[in-house]
Amino acid sequence: MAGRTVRLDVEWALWGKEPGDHDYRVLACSQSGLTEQKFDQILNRFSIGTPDTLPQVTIVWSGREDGEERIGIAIHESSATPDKVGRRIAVTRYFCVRYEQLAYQPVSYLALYRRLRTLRLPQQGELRIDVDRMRPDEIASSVNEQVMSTAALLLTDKSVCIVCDDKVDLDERLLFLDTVAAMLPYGMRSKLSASTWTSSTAQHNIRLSFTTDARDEAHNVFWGRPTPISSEAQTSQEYMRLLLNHADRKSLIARLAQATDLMGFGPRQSRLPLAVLDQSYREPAHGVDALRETDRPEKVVRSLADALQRQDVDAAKSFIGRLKYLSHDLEVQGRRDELKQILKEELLLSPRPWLEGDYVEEMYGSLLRLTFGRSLSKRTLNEVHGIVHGVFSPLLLDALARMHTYDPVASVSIARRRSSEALQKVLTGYSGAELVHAAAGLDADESFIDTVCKELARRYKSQEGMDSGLAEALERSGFLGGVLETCYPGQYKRQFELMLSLLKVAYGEGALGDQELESALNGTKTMPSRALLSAVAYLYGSGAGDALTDRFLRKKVEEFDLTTTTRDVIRKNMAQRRPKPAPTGGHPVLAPRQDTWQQRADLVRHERSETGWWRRTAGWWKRQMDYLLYLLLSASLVLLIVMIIIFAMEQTP
Amino acid sequence: MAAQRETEGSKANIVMWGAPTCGKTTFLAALSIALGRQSEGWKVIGANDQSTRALVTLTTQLSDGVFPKASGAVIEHYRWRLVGQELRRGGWKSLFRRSPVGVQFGLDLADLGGEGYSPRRLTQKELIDDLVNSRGIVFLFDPVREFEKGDAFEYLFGVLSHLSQHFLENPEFSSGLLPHHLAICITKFDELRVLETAEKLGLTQPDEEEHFPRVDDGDDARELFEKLCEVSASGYGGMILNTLEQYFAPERTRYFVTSAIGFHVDPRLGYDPDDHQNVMTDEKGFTRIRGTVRPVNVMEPLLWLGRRLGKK
Amino acid sequence: MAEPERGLLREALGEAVARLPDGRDLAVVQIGKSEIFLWKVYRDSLGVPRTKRRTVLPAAGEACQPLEGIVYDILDNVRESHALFAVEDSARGSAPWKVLDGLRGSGRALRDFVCPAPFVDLLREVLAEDPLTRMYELVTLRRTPGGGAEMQTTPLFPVGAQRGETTPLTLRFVSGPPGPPALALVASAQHAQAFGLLSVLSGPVESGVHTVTAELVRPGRVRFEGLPAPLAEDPRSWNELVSCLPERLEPAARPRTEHLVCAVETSVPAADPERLKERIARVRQLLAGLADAPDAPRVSLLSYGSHRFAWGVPEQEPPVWCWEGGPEDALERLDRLAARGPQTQTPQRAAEVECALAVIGDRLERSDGTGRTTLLFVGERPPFPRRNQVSGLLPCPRRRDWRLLADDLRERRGAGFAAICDDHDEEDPPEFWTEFSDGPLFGLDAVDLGALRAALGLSTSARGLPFPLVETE
Repeated sequence: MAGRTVRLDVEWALWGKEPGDHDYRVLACSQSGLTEQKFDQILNRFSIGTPDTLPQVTIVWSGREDGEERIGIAIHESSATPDKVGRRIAVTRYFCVRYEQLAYQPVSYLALYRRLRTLRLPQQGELRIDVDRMRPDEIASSVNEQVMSTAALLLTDKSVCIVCDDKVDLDERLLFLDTVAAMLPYGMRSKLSASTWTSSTAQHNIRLSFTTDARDEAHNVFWGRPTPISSEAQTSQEYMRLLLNHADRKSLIARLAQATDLMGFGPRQSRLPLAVLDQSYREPAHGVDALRETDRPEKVVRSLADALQRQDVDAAKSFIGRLKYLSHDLEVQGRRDELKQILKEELLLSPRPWLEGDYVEEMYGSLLRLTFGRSLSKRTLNEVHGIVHGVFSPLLLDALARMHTYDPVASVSIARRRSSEALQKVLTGYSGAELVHAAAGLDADESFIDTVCKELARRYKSQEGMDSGLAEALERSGFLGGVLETCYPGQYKRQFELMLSLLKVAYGEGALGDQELESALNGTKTMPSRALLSAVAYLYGSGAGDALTDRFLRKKVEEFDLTTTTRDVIRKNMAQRRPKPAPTGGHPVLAPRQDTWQQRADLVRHERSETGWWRRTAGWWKRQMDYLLYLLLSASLVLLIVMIIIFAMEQTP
Repeated sequence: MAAQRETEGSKANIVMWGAPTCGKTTFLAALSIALGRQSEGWKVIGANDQSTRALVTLTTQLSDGVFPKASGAVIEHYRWRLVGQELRRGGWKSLFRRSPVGVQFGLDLADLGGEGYSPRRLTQKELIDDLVNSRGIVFLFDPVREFEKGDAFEYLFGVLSHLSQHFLENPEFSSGLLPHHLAICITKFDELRVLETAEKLGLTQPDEEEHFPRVDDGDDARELFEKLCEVSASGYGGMILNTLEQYFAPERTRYFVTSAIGFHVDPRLGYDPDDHQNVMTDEKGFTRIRGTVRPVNVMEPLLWLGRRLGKK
Repeated sequence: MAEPERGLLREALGEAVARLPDGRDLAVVQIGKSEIFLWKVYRDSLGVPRTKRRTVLPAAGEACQPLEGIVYDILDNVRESHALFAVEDSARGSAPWKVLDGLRGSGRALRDFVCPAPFVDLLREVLAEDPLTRMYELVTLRRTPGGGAEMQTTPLFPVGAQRGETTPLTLRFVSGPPGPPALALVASAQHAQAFGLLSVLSGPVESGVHTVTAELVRPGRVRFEGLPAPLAEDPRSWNELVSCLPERLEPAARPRTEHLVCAVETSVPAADPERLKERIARVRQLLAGLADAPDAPRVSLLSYGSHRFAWGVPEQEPPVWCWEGGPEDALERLDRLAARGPQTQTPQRAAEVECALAVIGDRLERSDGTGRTTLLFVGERPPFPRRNQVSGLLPCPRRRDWRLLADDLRERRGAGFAAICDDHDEEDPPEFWTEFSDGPLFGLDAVDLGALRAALGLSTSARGLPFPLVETE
């Protein structure tokens, strides 16, 4: 992300008194995000007292007010007009920027102040300004030991006062504050309040400020004098040591500037800054906490959506970069449902012609990774389909195609939408068996089956890429009979034709032999489809009926695991030919009943002889036991109801 | 969370309380000058660096004729000491003779821009804490603001309700009265309308030395307070007095009619009832002090509070 | 049957005319000795009854037409209208008489009256007595609070008024260029806003208040009595008259000023140090105009600033630069005043107007000059009050009260007051200066010198007003 300047959307408020006003109040504000009331709260919270000299600048964070972190800068100036009773008053122009805008494009406080100092406030609405990006080399030149120790002292729970007189001017003060802030992880700016002046008698909420007098309850840093860190402030000492260890200050600043995760002050989080400088300080519990708190893909995606809405190219690019980073971090877990919702609501997957294609594709990729995980499945594709309402832009298809996928259905589906070349390329990547396997899967749809059939036919024809496993795969899948039936319901002709082609792929041209018939029909445990049966019968030629009976039906029946006796009977039945019909005048001749009954009697007899009387009596006992159990259960149920009624009656007076 | 909170010593034991623009800071700024003008030997001394500097800044500004700027919504803590001498009967030797004894009162003051007391911004925890921990309150009533805006009750009632809530469990509150000593100061006595009201009521009498008018502390001041409340712009003025009397014990309450900057006294001609105004408006509309600051009844409420708190 | 009495004809005619609506005619056939006239009576757009006459049977009496033709001609013409037949005595037995016979024979109901000759006089009389159908009003002027004049109408005669009615009026005429004041009579419909101009009369009238009696001579004509000279029709168009109306009324004539006292405020806002020069320029302009005049007044010049309220610095009285000198002396002193430069305004939003008045009063007391004195103050800020005020203005250190001083000058010395105020806003004139000056208030940026001279009582040739002013009690 090149560019020396950073474009920011600034919310603002004007705080002061109209000539007739008794009281301080918000006189005007941008009225976009923060309300007048919120501004009032923020400005009250970071009141600095009544400065003798103006202007003064206060760095104000906010986040409590509406749950969104903002970095603000309050410029206190003297008003040319008095208040109602003729007193001198200060007017505060307050500007704030969402932290996300600043997180990946750091800006110094001084640059912000210089840009905002002379800015005229509009009537209403946010301001859009360009500010110079923070340059580590510039700041590095101002770093000295006092700056470092001030930064280190900020890691305690006390505030830090820089005690100096009026001779230190505003720019110098701001630069100092900037340099101190640069010595801290950038994310701490989201919670840093700092001011070029505070009243030393005031009970204010500013963490880092210049004052005229030392305060008892704060760390006092005397301007231009050595700043020892007491041994009690152990974290500060450690941090100071780590800072001093970095000889290259420019890279130190750059490194700290990259630590954009939100980070607060105070004892609970005091080790986080140490961890930024030295990984060995990372404490798992805290580290994970911090990650969870800060890396919220949902928030970044929202901000991105915002930037896209504004067509703010720089911001969008910055957020895309951030997303990419997040999407590759295995620890990051977004709330996928929420992300999906955002994608849908904000139309994030729709085309962005004004943004360079690379960025768009990058964005799609990151969004997809974050929302659907790293691998693409048909289900994912269906969801994406739903999000984009079936309209896939080429870049989105590219991004989808780039995702890992082991699912031929998904990849073929994408490739088919892209181009025939892409489709061919994808298809060649799969073996025939894989294709068949995928086609037999639940996700396969009509077009996939169609594609697979065509591809297999093509391969057969050109004799390329034929694999040994293909025939077996086809057999196993019952030559996709079930799938064909579902995909082409009622289209028997089509099913039949496809089946013929598949059989051809498996067994080659020409009639099927007995062996082939057997393999084709017996590959699956389930019953072959009607299309397969018809095709086999068709290809087998004459004698197909007997062949089917002998080599398929018989086997199927035998597979049906019955007792040997029963199986024998079935076998016998199957083997017996039906008597030829009598040549008498067209009347159907029924099979002799007697035979049948005779056979049944045999069957029963055989069973009895096998199981004996015990089995029969056991059945009787079992029935008796069941009956008894049933009786017992009913009785206990009745008893329970009676008890409940009695209990209930006792309860009522 | 907020960076720092006070160490033990910064608990204020006297709190300045009043609506915006009622002159809390000016009142404090005038204290040193008031003490300088009396001959009883009282003086105010800062108890730490920042308080001393604040005292010096406030005093020099005011004596230069510049009013303090409007305070922001932040509590300023001043730790001052009133040091002086009082005649006391002490020891058997001085059984019949009063001898001067060195006396020192702590004036730990909390001054907050009046907006802080606004019901709209209720409530700064620090403010209520300061009030709870304090033992004396200087309640400043600005009759001019009351006449023009009439919101003193608004600024009083909200804070008072929160304050008494803190004392519900306190045995001291069993009578329903807060344990604080309350100095009610009617400010801006130098303002024409206030002075005229007092004169019409016949409550003024000339100061012994300077001859400018004064209203006696106590009943006369209370009567003036009552009358000034009646002309409140909102009509709620009348409730201020009642409310204060409901919450604070009469024996712990005293009324003072004060003016931080006092009346104009011509160095040659002395006090002139036709020309007593001591504020001027400058070209840009800022008010400044015309002549010398001659605080009226600024030291007295604090001395009274100091003595009462000292006795306990 | 022809009615014998003249009175009856008069009555019937009068009634018919009075009932005549706008836009309709009344036909009257006059049958004379040797001729027949057809009269049409109608009202013009302002409701004034008018007549037209057509000869039906020529006086020469040649029988160029058969009698029946004449009868039908008449019947054709009177069919639609309300018709009356006036038969003059002398007509009996003449040729027209025969026409009448023919008319009678036509079967139409005729209202014919005997008319003692001449009918014309009778008709004229009837029309003159016709009651007004419009209200008659006089165009007058009214003073506006801002010192200007506004046109209005003063009612003279209501609807229904008849000849001879009078209305007294008290009018102030202001004569002078460009023309004499005019009395413009307008008629107004009862329910309409529209006015119609009936007549504009003017004549040489002296400026001053006159009691005028307006008399209704006949519809459409009003006579004004009580003016020294008779009035004549004014040749000017209505637009010409209206354009003569000045934006500002000049004060009523008063004795000529013989002593002009100019007081210039020397304190100026810090942001505008040139302000004093502008003030002086105005005074210089005025004085330069006086310098050549043979009857130039005596001129005095003062300057005044603002009380300083400074410790240990005694307050100075406003300096008198020139007392009862000629305009040239004053001009020369004015240069010195300009050279001394301005004083920056003090925080107090007031100037020593009251002290300047005291100094002037004091000087006048000692002066033995005669004639009227007029004071011209050029400045911005109001005086200091006598005592403390809620506004926060500090009182004058000498406790002077400008009102007492000004009233004293007015009553005892008959002095006049005028002012040129820095930021004079027509809409919202500065309260003090409006109260201070007798006449209109002048702004610093554009002073109408003529008007200023008039206000100061220095010029005689005041502009006239095109219409009279109504004097209100």
